[in-house]
Amino acid sequence: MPDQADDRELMIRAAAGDRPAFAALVDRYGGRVFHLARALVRDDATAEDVLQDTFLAAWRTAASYRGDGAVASWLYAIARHAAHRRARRADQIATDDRSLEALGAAAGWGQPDVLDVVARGEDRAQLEAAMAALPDDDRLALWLHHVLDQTFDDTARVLGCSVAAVKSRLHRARLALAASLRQGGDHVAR
Amino acid sequence: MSLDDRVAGISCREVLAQLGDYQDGGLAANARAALEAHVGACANCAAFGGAYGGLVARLRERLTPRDLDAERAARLAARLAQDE
Repeated sequence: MPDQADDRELMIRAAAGDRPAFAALVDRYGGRVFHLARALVRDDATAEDVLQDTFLAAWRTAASYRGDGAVASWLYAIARHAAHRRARRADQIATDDRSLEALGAAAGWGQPDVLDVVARGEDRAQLEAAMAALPDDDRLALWLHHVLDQTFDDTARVLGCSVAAVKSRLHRARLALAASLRQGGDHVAR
Repeated sequence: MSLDDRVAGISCREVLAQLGDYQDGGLAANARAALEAHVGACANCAAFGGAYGGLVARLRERLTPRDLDAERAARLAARLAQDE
């Protein structure tokens, strides 16, 4: 994981117009931003648009970075907004209003095949398909915390909610992911 | 067996509710001990807890972000260079 103090130094220089410093941040976070965008908009072309929107906005507003959170989470928050602007999808998955008990049952509590979800999760394609069936903010929370190693505080900053809400969302999202894997990624909560 | 059955002083429903905090290291010591005692004696919760933890591990292992490919990185650099 990139060094946060070094990130801040690069941001300070970028805010003063130092293009090589900003290019170093692009090099460091471009792949992460693209894959986060790809998880949110689901096609490569739109994800690349989000990637470009994110770093253009970051360059233009570098001076507004206050240093009160990690540079990475500042970039991810910009990417989240860019993805929302680009992806007004008709098939957007808003929420999953099942109870925790219903989610647990769908995830396999008490079922003989419950451990199958771990085996299915070995396959990146199956895992991505199961992730794609989740509500957008569940998928984003899983990506931020488990894939991009964002702390609870930074995940909360990107999602615009409390740390307690992040923890609750992550728990529900993991259960929903297990349920989606058990059902071959076909489950879509609308 | 139902989610309301109590084993080692807590129900499977309570284990389900606390599993996220357990996974994230956010449970107090006494709650953690109670949950572990339950899981040690409840086959359903033991299997489910194992699957839950295993899935979190798979997320970290399988969805590692890759670097930008060279063509996409070049297009991004060109777009940024246009912005004065």
